[in-house]
Amino acid sequence: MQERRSYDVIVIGGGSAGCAAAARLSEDADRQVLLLEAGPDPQPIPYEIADGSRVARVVLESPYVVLYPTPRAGDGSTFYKVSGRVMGGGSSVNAMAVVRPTKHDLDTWAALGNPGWSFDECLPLLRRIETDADYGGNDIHGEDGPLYVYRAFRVDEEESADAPVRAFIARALGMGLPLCPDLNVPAPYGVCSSAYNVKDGVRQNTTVAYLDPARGRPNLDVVPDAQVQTLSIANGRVNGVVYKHAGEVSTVSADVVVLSAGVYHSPQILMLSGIGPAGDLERLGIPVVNALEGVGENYQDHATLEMTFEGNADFNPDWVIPRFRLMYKSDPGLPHGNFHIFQRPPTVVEGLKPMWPVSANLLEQRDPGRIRLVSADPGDLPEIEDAMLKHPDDLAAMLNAMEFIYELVQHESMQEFYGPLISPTREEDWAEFARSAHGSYHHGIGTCKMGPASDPMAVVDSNLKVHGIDNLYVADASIMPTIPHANTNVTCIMIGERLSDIVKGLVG
Amino acid sequence: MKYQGKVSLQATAETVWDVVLDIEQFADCMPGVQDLVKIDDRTFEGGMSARVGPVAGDFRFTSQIVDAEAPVSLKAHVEGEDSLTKSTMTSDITMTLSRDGTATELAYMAEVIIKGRLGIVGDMILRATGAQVIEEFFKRLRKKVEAPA
Repeated sequence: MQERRSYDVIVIGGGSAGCAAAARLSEDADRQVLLLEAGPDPQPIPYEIADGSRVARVVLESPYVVLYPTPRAGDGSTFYKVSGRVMGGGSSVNAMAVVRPTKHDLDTWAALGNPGWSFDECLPLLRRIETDADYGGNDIHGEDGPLYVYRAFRVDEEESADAPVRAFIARALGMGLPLCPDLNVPAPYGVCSSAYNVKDGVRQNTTVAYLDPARGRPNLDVVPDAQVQTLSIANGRVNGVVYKHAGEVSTVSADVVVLSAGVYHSPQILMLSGIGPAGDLERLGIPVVNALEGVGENYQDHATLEMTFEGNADFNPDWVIPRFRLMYKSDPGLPHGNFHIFQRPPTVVEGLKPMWPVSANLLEQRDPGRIRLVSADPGDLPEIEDAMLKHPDDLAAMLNAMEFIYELVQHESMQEFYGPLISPTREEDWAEFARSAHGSYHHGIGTCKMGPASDPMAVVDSNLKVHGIDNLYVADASIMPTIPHANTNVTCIMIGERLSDIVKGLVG
Repeated sequence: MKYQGKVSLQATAETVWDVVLDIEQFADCMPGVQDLVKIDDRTFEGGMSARVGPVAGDFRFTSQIVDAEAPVSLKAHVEGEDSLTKSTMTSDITMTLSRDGTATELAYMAEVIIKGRLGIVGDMILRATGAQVIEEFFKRLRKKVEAPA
């Protein structure tokens, strides 16, 4: 509950980054911290979130996700982006994959004018996040951090796997992919074990890993179901955070305000507060406080596509998300893999042949989209202009991965398990299929891009401070200048950790 | 998502029409459809069940012929809901028959719209399912309307 009207730090958004930041910042008992979360804060975390085996069902059935209908850039047909609206944010509804950004990803961020964000400089943050049950204590992995990490299945010990899984792995190795047991090395490529943040079957979201141990602190107030309406800004400083809770509008203030509302809602709150593209704000009647053309721009995500084959065997695994993945390169010259390729469990429809999909997830996006406000009402979801697979090189990469999957599966060593391709058919135009049928891997980033003031599209500087506003910071997926070749949860937690270091240096 | 195509059947348009318009015979051609209930001459209800790994669900739907000009064209509207996510599916299907010598060409076009969470993870599965249903439907229809050689 909220006890005060004024704090040292207010964190807006209790997601992957926000929970980490609030927990770290409240470690010092003299620092007064308020965490506002738009969603509920059920305690203990409910079964549908906690149960690590329910991965897909929390998204399909729980009340803790928000859907954003989104037109495909290719043909205007609708698909859905998703975010978690509950304490823990995306870490409460994701597939619990623990995948680090690559060395190339972080070195690219640094090269774009963001000192302090190179891989070597971020490695201490990545290590302190985790307790890695398999590799903890080696040169790159932590052994005493809040996030428990383990691998249920080791690709270098694959004898225990089901026959179709063993065949899939053997075929990938036969095509030249190396074994890469630890997906979280600096430049992953090959057949990798998937690491997950599950402990004894219980999801280790940032609520469990970070916030729960901090809840008893008298200097940490947590207010769930609190939707921020706007930031009150004067003379280049935020002097009030206006939020609605239980039908009442309240205002609180702080020396430092941190936006961790995620890729869709951090830019929304900035724009509602008059920080954003001047033309868009004026069109909606929002007074321009600080014209920053990059707010809502630079939106990137990972495109996903499934190739579905007939199944030739009776196979009913207990997993929805497999425990290994291929880190595939569509271009051999790349420093690391640029696709996650997954063997998916069969879909069985009574009366039809079993359908065995294999998915390709493109881990980069060259042509960004954007997020726009549709109104000045904080309750309206922002509109997404998506651009996945719009760039010819992205489409070409996807087609390359589709051919790779076809070659992998349609091999005599796989015929015991996989039959002919059902969708797309071999005769279909695969480029058209990719443009009209792709989905999202749900890793949106970039809408409050980090970069130097000389970059007209930068929203925050390398210390995560909003350009032109003295005490306003952003810490979540939105600050990433380029999309990591990885699931984004760990990168978000890393950003929350970095934010806490930065703010600790500001507010005693 | 859209499905469209043409098939050539060695039968008269009237023969094809009679099978397609007869709900029992039409349902015979639909793979995977269970619990079929005829509501009236133009409407039937049915269901399908599916399993993905450990996740299982049912899909119930109502199909209604909304326009028919024998033996030339047919329009049907299908609405359904899945038991797991309560997502809705609507589809408008157009079928036209034209004579091609001694054969009949059947052209079809179906637009399927999924609203709700099924669209998050089910899009690709539905595409593959739709492709299989269409392939099997025409295989069965051919068997019904074409005289044995």
